[in-house]
Formats: sequence, C-alpha cells, structure tokens
Amino acid sequence: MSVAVTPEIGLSTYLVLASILFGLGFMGVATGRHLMRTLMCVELMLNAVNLALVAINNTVNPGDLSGQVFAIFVLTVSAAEAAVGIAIVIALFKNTGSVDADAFKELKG
Amino acid sequence: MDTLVFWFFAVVSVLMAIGVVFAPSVLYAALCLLSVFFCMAGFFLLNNADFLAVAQVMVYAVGLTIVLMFGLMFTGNQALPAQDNKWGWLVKTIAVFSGLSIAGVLAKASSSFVPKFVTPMAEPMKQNVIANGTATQLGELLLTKYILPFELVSVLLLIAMIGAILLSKKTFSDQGSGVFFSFDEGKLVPEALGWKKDVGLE
Amino acid sequence: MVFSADALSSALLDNDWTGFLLKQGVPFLSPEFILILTLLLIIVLSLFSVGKTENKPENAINSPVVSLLASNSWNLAMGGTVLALLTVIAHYFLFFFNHFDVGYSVLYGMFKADLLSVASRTFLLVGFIIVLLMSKRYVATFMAKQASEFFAILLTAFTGAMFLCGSIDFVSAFVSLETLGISSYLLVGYLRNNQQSTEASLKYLVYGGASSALFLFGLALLYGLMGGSTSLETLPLALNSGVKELSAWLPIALVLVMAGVGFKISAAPFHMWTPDVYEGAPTPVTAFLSVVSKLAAFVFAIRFLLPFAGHVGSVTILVSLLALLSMLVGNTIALKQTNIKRLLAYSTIAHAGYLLLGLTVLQYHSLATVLFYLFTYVFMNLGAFACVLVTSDLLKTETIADMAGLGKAKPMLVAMFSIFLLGLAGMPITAGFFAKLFLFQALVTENPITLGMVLLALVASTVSIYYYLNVIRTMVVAEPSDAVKALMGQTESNAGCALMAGGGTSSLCGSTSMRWAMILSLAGTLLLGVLATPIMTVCDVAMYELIQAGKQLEPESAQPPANVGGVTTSASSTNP
Repeated sequence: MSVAVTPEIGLSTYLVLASILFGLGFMGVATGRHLMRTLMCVELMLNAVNLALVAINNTVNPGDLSGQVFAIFVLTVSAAEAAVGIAIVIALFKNTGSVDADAFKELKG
Repeated sequence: MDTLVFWFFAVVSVLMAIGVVFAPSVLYAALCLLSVFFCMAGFFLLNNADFLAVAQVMVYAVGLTIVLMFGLMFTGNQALPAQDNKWGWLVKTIAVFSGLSIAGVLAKASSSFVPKFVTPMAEPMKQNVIANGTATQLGELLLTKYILPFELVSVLLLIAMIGAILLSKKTFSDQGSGVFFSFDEGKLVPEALGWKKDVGLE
Repeated sequence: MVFSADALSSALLDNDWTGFLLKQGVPFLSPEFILILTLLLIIVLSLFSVGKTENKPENAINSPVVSLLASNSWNLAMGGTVLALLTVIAHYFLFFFNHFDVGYSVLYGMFKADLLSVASRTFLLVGFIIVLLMSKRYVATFMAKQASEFFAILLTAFTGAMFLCGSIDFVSAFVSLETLGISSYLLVGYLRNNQQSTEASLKYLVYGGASSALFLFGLALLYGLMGGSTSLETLPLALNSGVKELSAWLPIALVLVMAGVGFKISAAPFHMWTPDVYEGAPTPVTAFLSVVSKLAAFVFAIRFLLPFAGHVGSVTILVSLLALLSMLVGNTIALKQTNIKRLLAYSTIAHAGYLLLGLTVLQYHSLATVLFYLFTYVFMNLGAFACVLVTSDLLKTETIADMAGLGKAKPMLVAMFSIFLLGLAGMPITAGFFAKLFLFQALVTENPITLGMVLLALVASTVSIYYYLNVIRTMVVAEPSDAVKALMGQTESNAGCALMAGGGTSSLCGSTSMRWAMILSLAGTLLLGVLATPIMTVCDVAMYELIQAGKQLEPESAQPPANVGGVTTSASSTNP
C-alpha cells in the first residue's frame, strides 16, 4: 500500500505502522521454533497495540488520557505474561532439555 | 523535524521487528527487540506520552530484556536441529501468509481511518497536555476512574511473581509430607503417584 | 477529569468516606473483596506452615491458631468462597427490594451490578465450590508442598472471572480477562515435573498471548471509533451516530475482539489449544477452565455483542459462522477420540457452538436461554470431570477402551457418569434436555430465519449422542479390560468398602470431598431440570433488564458524540 508522505504525520500513518508491527509479530508467533522467540513476538504484538492506543488517544481525545492509561495496563500485564512465560519455558526445558517448539510431541495438536 | 524523527523511528522499528522474527540467533532477536522497544518510546514521546515513554524504557527495555536474557542463559542459546517435518514448509507458508494478510487488512483499514469523533477542542487540549505533562493526569485517572483494574492488576502481579518463582525454582519435590491434611480422613498413598509419574531431570 | 476528581474531592472535604463508597456501589463488589482477602490470607499464612518452615525452625510461629490456619489453605479457600456465595445471595434481596431496573454502575462505571452479573456470579461460585471439592484430595496427593500457592492462584483466576462477569469497560474487561488467563497458564503448568502439564501450559500461553493481542487491537480500534472512551456504554451512542461511516471498520474490530473471546470459550477456529490443554492440565484445573472461563467469557460476549443488535449485519454472520464451525469441528473430531479428557474437550467445543448459536439473534429470550444453558452446563460438565478424575485415579489411565466393564466393578460411579454424559448429550430427565429445548425453541420463535441453523444443530447434537453413548456402552456392556480386572481383584481383597469408595490404592474416590463434588453436580443436573421455570424467569428478567438498560443509553435522535469521553459515568446509574 502507498502511504502519502504528508508534512504532518497523521493517525492513519501510525495505525499502518502499528499494523505492520502487529502482523510481523503474529508471523513470528506462528513460525517461530525457538520458544523464546515466540515469547518475544507476543511482546512485539502487544507493543504494536500500545502504539495504536497512544496514537489514537493523541488524535481523537487528547484531553482525556484514558488511552494512555489503557496502554499502562497493557504494559503491566504483558510484563507479567512474559515473566510467567519465561518461567514455563524454563520448566519445560528442565523436563525435556529442549526449547524447540517442533520437538514437543507429547500432546498431539 | 517531527516528521523526520518519525520516519527514522518507523524504518528502524520495522527493520528491527523483521530482525526479531527472522534473525538467525535468538540472542540477536532479543537485541532487535530491545531497539524496537526504544523506537516505541520515541513514538510515545512524539505523541505527548512522556510518562509512558519513560515507563516503556524502564519496564520493557530494561526489565523485560534482562529477564529475556536470563531466560536465554537458563535455556542455552543453542542452535536448533534441522527440521525433518514433511509438511513444515506448508505450515511456514501459511503462517507467513496469515501474518502478511493480517498486517495488510489492518493497514488497509487504517490508511482510510477518518477520525470522525475527534473532539472539537483537540488542539487546545493537546497544548494543555504538552504544557503540564501527563504524569499528574495519569495518576489521577489511575487512582479514581481506573481504581478497580488498578487494584486487580496488583493482585495479578503478585500472583504472577509467586507462580513464576514456583515454576522455575531449582529443586522441587512433589513427594508431599501430607502436612496439608492433618485433619482429613485417610493417609497419603505413594502408589497413587504412579499414573502421572514425575519425569524431572533432577 | 471532571467526572472523577469532583466526586472524590467533595467526599474528602466532607470526610464522608462511607457515603462516597456507597455512592460508588462498592458493597456490590463484596464477594470479590472477600475472595481477594482470602487469597492474600492464604499467601501470608502459608509462610508459617510446617512445610515451609521445617528447614528453618526459627521462622515458625508458635501459635496454635497460625499453624492451624496455615496448614488448612483448602479450608480457608472454601470458607472464603462460601462467604462470597452468601453475600451474592444477599444481593438478590437488594435487587428485589430496591428495583435497580437497569443495574448499578460500580466504581466509575468499571463494573455493572445488574441481575445478569449477580446471577452469573452465583453459578460461578457454586461451580467453583465444586472445583474446590474436586481439587482437595488431588492437590494433597500431587502437589502437597505447593498446596497453598495452588489455591491462591486458583482464587486469583476465579476473581478475574468474577470481575469479567460485570465488566462494562474495556480496561477492566482486559485486566480481568488477563487475570483469569495468566493464572490459568500457571495452573495448567502446575505439575511442573510432568512434561504433559508444562507443555500444555506453554501451548496455552502462546495461543493465549497471541489471542489477547488480537483482542486488544480490536479494543484499540473500537476505542478510536468511540471517540476516546473506554466504556462499553458509549458503544450504542457511537453506533447510532454514524453506522455508514463505520461500516468498513467495525467488522475488523469485531473479528479481532471475537478472536479473543472465542479463544476463551474455545470456539472453532480458535479452539486449537483446547484438547491439548485439557489433556495435559491437572484434571481439577481442566474442570475449572471448561466451566468458569467459559461462563465468564460468555457473559462478557453477551454484554459486548448486545449493542450491535440491529446495527451491523456482520455480527450475525460472524457469530453464526463461529457457531457452525464449532459444532462441526467439535462433533466430528470427538467421534474418533480415544482419551476421555480429549473427548470432553471436543464436546466443550461443540457446546460452545450451540451456545454461540443463541447469540446470533441477540433478543432477550434467546439470550436468556443461553444463560440457562450455561448454568446447566456448569453442573453437567463439572460432574463429568469429577467422574473422569475418579475413574482415571482408579484405573491409572484415561483411555476410554480401558474403562470397559467398569460398571461391574463400580456400578454407582458408572451410573453417575452416565447421567452426566446423558445430560451433556441433551437427553430427557436431565437439565441438559431442557437447556437444549429452550434454546432451540427460543431461536426459532424469535427469528425464523435461524431455522436452518437450528436443524443443523439438531443433527449435530444427534451425532453427539453417539459418542456419549459409546462411552456409556463401553463402561456398562463391554467385557472388563485388564485395568478393570486388576481393580476388581483389589476390591475383592479389600472387601467392605462403600459403593463408590475404592480399594487400597485409591486415594481420590475414598475422599468425602470428592463424593460431595459428585453429589452436588448430580443434584444440580437433576434439580435445574425440575426448577427450570423459576431459573428461566430469573434469566429472562436479567436479559430484559440488560436490554432496557441498553435502550436507555441510546439517544432518541442521532447526536454527534463529540465529547463522549467525559460523560460516561454519571449517565448510566439510577440511584434508588
């Protein structure tokens, strides 16, 4: 798609950027074999959402910062999720000695 | 100037995001993620979100990246063996295609976004926010309007911390002493553990 | 900022905290506060328990009360839950005497205390009591040293579900959904030396993380469309003002949000995690996920989709697509399952399909039947999982073929299991029959166009009867398998056991709590059929009030919602 280069960066440009980052993150979650990379890509997706929220807030209703509050909650929750995720990966690594998503055949998808 | 800064961050963040997904080593991917986090902080500054930018650097770029590095050290940064899955390429193709299509659909919709509901007072409000900073208003919102999710997320953080420590603790023995049930009928029977046998590597 | 700071500062000036809290409707959150206090108490007291301090005797507190409480985290959790249930029941009286026709907005419109949230929280609490009864002996057997943490995490997950039932704000909905989600990841992986358990947990985490990101992107888009307001109550306002301009945008936001909700209710095509997680997780946790997560997420789905009724045709198309796919996938793949937990996982997906069918019409009676279906589903599914827990503990296997001939060894257990499975299949006498009957009837009468889909659902539930009956046939008719023979040998040498109580090796089915869990589920499964009319009335009233409340929010004429962001909180609540 073509994004018009305007002197002022509009909301749609930010949203297009957020969508690209979001799509890349999704791609990484779907293809990634290394579990750590999968977790990183989830964080990438959540960051893209944060970018969209902050940009929307600044354009649509800059007087009420509820979008930024939302972004703070996303940030907090994603940090908790990453901590839990890494703990689970470590537990799985202790059990199997591998961090390869393709190596786990115990449960058939 | 803002435009220039925006395009710089935009190009860097997209390139680094591609790096997160496709970098050969996971360590490089983590470093790429770090620079994406910094670019995000830059975008936040461009959008008058000063507090959030600082929080982004502190939580993501410092905290989370370090935790990721620790995770990599625990699990070892080893190369994965070559794939022997017959349908692996198909899965990969579908995944790449779906990722691209998600990005495409969202971006197509985004490029036509008409901010229909923009507040008439947007510009003076923006100036006001720029003049006063966001921290005061954010604090007030967090402790009044959003007090309920704020309290709930504090419980969540506590439990996530406890759970993460529990799951990744070094030694672990499920051979319980039965302390928990000192008042219940019956006693613990070790044979009952048989059908879900522990397979720890300790 | 006008909305919040003024109320708070005036309360501060008058030093009238109780008045302020009452005005914000905080007493309506008392069950959640009780649960949170209980879980904090469990965490703090567990530090002093004998198991934690045995290596460091100097940390032990020599108080009989502390040591008694510390070693009884299950009893604490149960006590807190029962207390919360009592307070929720007290809320019914508040509602009947005060006539909150459209509910009460709690804490600046973050939570809606209406009959829907009160009724669904009642059944959530009853279901949670059964889950606690199921997990008592299991936890003591498999994770004795980490018991108090297990119950703390379980209570956190449950608190998230409770908040989700009343969330009418994007932020509180997201936070409660994630509280439920993240604690569930921990619970699924709690048997951390067991590879299946950790693997299931990781799968759940990856799928959950991706789907919550999709959910969030949808919420972010809606946040922009609603003019910078996070409250669901401004959604009707935004929809009324510019449907045509929004038409390109709304479907995308809707699909994204429904991806997040569909993940939690395990609707196809977001169901991929379900069989693996159900199989790998500790069985009480599986029961918790299949009932509590599902009920709470469905209540949120009802709240979220209702404003779209009559506005966007794509909602109907989207939801019926999800429903049809779920029925198809769930019922066909369930046919060839050999593991009982995987079978129940696919049956859960199929049930999500039937329930989603009820959301296609978005009129009050069909939504009420969805609610009733969910309530009966709580008891039937929990009962089935309780039976799975006992059976797999007796036979040390979860394969259906190994359960052959179990009826000869444990007739009472098999009878109960059969009733739960027949209930899930929708056979008469059980509440499952009435639930299906009401749902399909309401759908056809309220919108005849859905007739085709109802016929498909009937075909699907006929198929489902086959695989449920197949399990019962294996247990009752077939020749005993080796596992059952071994069990019968033990029982003979260990004569004098009660009907359900097992022989020497069994630890679970001999336990009183397990028996109570099964009896409660059985009572629910049968009684909800008998008491169908009064409970259906409650559901009808709840849904009617919800729709009335939504109508009050819609303006008579379309207005530009220019400063929607500021006026969200005060407009919605009608004070008594």
